[in-house]
Amino acid sequence: MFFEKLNFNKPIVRSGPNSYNRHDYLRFDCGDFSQCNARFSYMHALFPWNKDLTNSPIQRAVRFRDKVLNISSDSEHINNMKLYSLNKILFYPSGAGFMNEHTDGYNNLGHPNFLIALSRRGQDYSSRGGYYVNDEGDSVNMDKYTEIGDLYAHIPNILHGVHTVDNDIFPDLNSARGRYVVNISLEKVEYGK
Amino acid sequence: MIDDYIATDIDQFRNKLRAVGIAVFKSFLSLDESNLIKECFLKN
Repeated sequence: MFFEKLNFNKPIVRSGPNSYNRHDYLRFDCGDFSQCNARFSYMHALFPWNKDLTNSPIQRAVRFRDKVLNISSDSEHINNMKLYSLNKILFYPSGAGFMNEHTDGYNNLGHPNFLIALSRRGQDYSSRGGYYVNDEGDSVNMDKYTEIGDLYAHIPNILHGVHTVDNDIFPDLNSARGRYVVNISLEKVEYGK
Repeated sequence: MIDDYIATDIDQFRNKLRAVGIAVFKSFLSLDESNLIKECFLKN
């Protein structure tokens, strides 16, 4: 079963760059430590070489992405492009979670980024959250329009970020309230030591 | 606004992504599937 295969009970808590054959891990990012983009979030990284996610709902989204982009991530190195599929579960805690405004594509040859909403604004948190900047330069909050289970994607050069979730309340890091998303991203393979 | 992004099949999704830069596929995962992933995360 998907749940058992993930073996979530033994996460590796370690930060730093991702590299080939790295173990799955749970990470807490605060500020700009070792990141291109400053953020306050928890991330559970699921590498394709560690687990069999064949029948998982996440893998169904991976197959959908592959069809949209006309790539194959059946192997660890996608279409010999030295890319791999990094699946991440992200949690932006209420009162603190954010990600600075940025564009993608710097580490994945410019492929679009795919996400699935696991939370709903107005239910799991109250205000702000994920946004895109439109052609007029206005910030458009996507979380107002997405429901739990919705899959969405954006091209890499669109400015986007996460406005501090529930920025008007004091954070309680023991609380499960906040914004949850699955991020199915493509990343360049880096070979670690 | 969101209506501009919503696609109902994979070809439409690809076309919206190319044309508008954003595409949305409503209810791709069920509520149960979404909650399962979230619960797995919270067990940590």
